[in-house]
Amino acid sequence: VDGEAVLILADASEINVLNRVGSLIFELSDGAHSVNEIVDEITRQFDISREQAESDTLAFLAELEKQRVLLLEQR
Amino acid sequence: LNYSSDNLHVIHLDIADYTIALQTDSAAMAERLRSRYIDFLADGGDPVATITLNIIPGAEFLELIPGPWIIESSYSENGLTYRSYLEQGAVDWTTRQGYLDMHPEAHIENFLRVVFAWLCLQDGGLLLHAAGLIRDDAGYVFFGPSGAGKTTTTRLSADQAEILSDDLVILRCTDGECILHGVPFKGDYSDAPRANQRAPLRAIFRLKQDSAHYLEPLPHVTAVAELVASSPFIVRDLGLSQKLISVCQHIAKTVPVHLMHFRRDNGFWRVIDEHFQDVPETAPANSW
Repeated sequence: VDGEAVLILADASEINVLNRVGSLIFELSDGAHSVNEIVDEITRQFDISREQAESDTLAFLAELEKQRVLLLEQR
Repeated sequence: LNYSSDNLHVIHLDIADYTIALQTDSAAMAERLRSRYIDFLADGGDPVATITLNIIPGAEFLELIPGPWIIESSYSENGLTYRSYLEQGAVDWTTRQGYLDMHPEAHIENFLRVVFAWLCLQDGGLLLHAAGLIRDDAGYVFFGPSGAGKTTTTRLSADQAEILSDDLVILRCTDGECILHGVPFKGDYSDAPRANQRAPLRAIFRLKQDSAHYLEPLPHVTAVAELVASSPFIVRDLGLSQKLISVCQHIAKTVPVHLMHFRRDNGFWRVIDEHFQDVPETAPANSW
């Protein structure tokens, strides 16, 4: 919507407006990128340590998995 | 109610200025529909679709299992299909014909909700999961998921405004304004009237239960997303999502959308009146 990403879950009572980082993680969660590759991209695009990027990315992906938006797979 | 030949009963409903014709050979069903939709009956006109109701004793289309009530629907440019436990049907918009196969105890209402959700969207409007009220000739919409307070705010407004619905309303929009329309569909406040009325829409409120009454403007992106999320049936169809977002963007640009914090008394109307009271465009000369 006007350049911002919104997550609407039909069965949930809340909507989530994603910030730039969340939008990027969501876009890269396409089945082709690994979690490590997503963390690399976050670290490259934002002024943030790799440790912080990894922690935030994992937390966000875990929330998406909990909401049944995506599935994390071991490779 | 019009009777044509061969004992076919044809009932025209006028909902949000759309006429839809229902035809059945069952006098009992015709009477039931006429009674149920008495405030929305029309004398005739040019229906957007004619739906043939086929009463089929013993019919079941989904296995009845505990859990949420299941309504399956699918949409294309040319039509829609619908299935629930005791009824299934379709509408072909190219021929403007449709049918609903029904168990004798089934009701047409959920099918009509699906039909109007699709129909309104194609016209740039919306069937919205919301309460609708008219106060001083202006329309107000209160929305949010189940439990947000639609029925509560409706009950609290009984002596403050004309109630259109505590559950579903239709918004029809042109370039400059949106019109709020009542619908005959029942919500939790089943004894509330379902007024076949309309009014220019002045404001939309996303409900948030709180300990005080106040309004908070919603950012455009949030307002759009909240409207999308409160559009029953069609929100689940990915093929309609671009159109749905576009319509909600238009509505959110045309009508102010606020988060309304409220507690369980009708003091929220004072806050609304103060916020939306008419302010003269220019101050009178020598006003000091």
